[in-house]
Amino acid sequence: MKITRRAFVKATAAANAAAVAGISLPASAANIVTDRARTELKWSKAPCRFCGTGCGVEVAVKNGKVVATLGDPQAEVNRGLNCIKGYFLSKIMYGADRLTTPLLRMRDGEYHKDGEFTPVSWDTAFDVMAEKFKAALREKGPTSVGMFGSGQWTVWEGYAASKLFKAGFRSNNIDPNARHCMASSVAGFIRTFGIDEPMGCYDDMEHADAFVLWGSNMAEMHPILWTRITDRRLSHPHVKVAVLSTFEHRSFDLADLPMIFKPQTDLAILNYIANYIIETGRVNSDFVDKHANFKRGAIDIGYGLRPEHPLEQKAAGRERAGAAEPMTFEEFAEFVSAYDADTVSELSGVPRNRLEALAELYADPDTKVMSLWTMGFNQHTRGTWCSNLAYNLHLLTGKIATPGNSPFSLTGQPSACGTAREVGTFSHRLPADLVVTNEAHRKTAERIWKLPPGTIPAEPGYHAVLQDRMLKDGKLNAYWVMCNNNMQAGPNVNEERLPGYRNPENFIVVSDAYPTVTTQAADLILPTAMWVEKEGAYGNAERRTQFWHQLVDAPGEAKSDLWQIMEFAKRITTDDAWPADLLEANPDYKGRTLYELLFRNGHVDRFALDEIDPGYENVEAKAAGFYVQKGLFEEYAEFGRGHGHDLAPFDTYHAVRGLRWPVVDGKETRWRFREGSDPYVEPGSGYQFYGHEDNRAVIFALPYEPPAESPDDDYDLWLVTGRVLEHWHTGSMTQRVPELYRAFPDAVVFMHPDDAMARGLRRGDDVFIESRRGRTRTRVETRGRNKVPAGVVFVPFFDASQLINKSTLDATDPISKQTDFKKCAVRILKASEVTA
Amino acid sequence: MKRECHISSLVVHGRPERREAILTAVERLEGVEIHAVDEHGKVVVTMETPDESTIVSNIDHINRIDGILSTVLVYHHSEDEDALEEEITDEDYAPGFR
Repeated sequence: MKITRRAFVKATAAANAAAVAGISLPASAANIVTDRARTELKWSKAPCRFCGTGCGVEVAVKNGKVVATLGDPQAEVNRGLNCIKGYFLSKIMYGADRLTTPLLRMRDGEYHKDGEFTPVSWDTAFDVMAEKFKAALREKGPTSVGMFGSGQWTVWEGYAASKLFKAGFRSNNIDPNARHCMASSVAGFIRTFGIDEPMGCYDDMEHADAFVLWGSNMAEMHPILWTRITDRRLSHPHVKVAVLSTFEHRSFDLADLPMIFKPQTDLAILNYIANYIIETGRVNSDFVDKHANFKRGAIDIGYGLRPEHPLEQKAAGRERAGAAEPMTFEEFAEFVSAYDADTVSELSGVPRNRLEALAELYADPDTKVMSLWTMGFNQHTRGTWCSNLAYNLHLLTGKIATPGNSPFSLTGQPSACGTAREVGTFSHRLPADLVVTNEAHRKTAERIWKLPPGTIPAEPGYHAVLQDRMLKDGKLNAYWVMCNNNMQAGPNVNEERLPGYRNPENFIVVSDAYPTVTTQAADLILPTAMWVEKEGAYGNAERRTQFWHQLVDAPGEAKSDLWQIMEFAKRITTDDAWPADLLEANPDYKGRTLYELLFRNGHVDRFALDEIDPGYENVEAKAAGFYVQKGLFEEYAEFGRGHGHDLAPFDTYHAVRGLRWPVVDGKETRWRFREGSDPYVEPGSGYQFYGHEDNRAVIFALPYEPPAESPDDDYDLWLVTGRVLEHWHTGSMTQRVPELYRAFPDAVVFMHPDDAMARGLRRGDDVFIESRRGRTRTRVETRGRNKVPAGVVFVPFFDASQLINKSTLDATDPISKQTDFKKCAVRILKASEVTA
Repeated sequence: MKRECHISSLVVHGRPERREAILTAVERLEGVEIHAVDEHGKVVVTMETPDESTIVSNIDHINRIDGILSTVLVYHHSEDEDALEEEITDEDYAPGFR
């Protein structure tokens, strides 16, 4: 019998869906060829390009092009499922406007800041770029060069970039866009546990009796994890789902306990729950006595604005934002006693009975609780505190590090954990939780990197928002933006970012696969290979490191970030970058290119090309003449092996569907800090929070403090920004597919019907949304999936034609330096009544 | 320009008590076929569409049906219409869905 490929493909599609759903198909439908070879497709594994969940996909290549994707049934994360963003995977590399050649602003045949973008060769691009970087180094030293990187970088791209800046240029001015995304979670982990990243894993979702979403719309942002929670909830009727947010979204559909709270009052609700646990006598004293300390954190710490801002001037605790003093349990109990049900219900707007039901989930010793959060906690001027206060609840009750008891910070980018955090591409970090401010840590990095003592600077560099300010102020002059769209994604575009990019003193390089508002603001655009056009590694939110091979070639002259970093390093020498005294003291290092220094160090270049899987291409390795990804990974892994961050050998990851670190004796770790599960915990101890020397976690006393800006008579509404399911972050990949773009074509402002009526507005009306900093034109939406309460408006930030970040405030958490994109004051004006 | 064809499969999860209404609403969508249903409310669906916008608008429609909890993708294949008309031999292979 003959069948068409169409029938075959459809049968395969149905069969795979049935298999992952655990449903058997009728025999007739099942009797179809499933021998993959017959379809002439070559299938290989890769993690999804999008969010931090880290789903496994199988990618099919035909004639050098990706034609199909399939949720990987062998991937533990998603077990064959994939969310709607999976549709973008086959297409993201094939947008019509893909950048395929370097573009330099030129006038009269040479670089000019106000010139037109003109195609140039890589040689010309790097020549001009090197000249600008060298000029900045000569005139102002290493603090005048910098880089803004990404939680979408592969592990080795982030590692190579970090080395290039911290070791090569001797500048710590490198920070990832992850600063906007989960820096507060990082600071929360470091403060409470002394070590980054969740102790639990996704397996907790099949064990928990209650799920509490603190500022996370998982139904839309982490749909695959949401299906795991949905399955658990529906198959175990005792399971409860509590959803807290400042507006109603899709995740409320599953909520047993829905709660809308007034912006910023999550701090008070968290303290109320701690108070409830204590007052109802449900503190797990045995656990707390053995494994926790109590500390009182500094208060009135300001809002991370420029120092001359009035709010900073009056913030008494500004200089010691991260400080904390020991306190007793009794003092802690006294501190949280102010947060009683009536007070907090009044402040938050959440009814008392719901607060109590929520608190009871945490307090009941027989209820295993998983707390989940993303941007609602992280993009918060007290985001670090939010994390600390959530850990308090799990520590007071001992509900931590056992299956189902899990405070869990989700991530939004595919390698926010694997690259930004673990590799340490932040302005203060080094790999494996080491920091530049610690001399012993710098020495470790200098030893592994084979550098003379004193190479790595001890001062933290400029973080994301500070980079914008320093560009504007002309102190940061040669700047490379890679793998992000910060002009659109960052806060306060008009006042604090665009002026810096267009400052005539500065040279801005942007590497991307597609044109974005950020490339438009650049002086030099470099075309980038993406996802399976290169060999890569990502690390997801549950500490799982995942690899993929290069499956197709990049179009035109597009080259991966790794290739770009290494090639550019050939253009700069130690004589250009290092001071005379360091070179005099270490004459062997004179006159070496940064490429030789960092990548031909006898370490990174120790694996030959014949170690590459012969079934796959590897452009970067062939260009270098050695297996560069393996060399970089193995050098990087040396930082963490034996120190609680152990990674498996490189080749293992190409064979498996990821492993969760620490990987010790070939075994991954699902729950850290607990005896029997984590190999670093000593026998007989029960638990050890070994990030701190005394093996104890910290329970913090931290108050409710108001946000940086609240609605007033002039700007009478709260603005909350965020994502929608169909578009990922700034939409630079998802908006390439024109048909998909129509699915959610333009951003709208979601408003409560009463707020609209009070302003004489109707659904679909053309309006300006305006803050003290800028305004954006959009349309009113009073229905739809996001239902805001009166007084709040929500605007997605994916739409490049409506830059909502012209309105947002660059207030940050003073501890984590992460921006609060969830709270500022705006007003809505009818467009017809405004002179544009 | 060559015409494209997108073939995809989904697992739709709805509240079991809304099953009949959900199936009726899903079936109404063009190019959508229901292949199997289970007692927990999971439905296996394939879609054959000329472009991605129809896939996404279909998913949007499905998500708006009362009682739907999640709609997830499993398989997505996009190729030229012509390539899919090619005939292949169906051998007597045992079904083996990996």
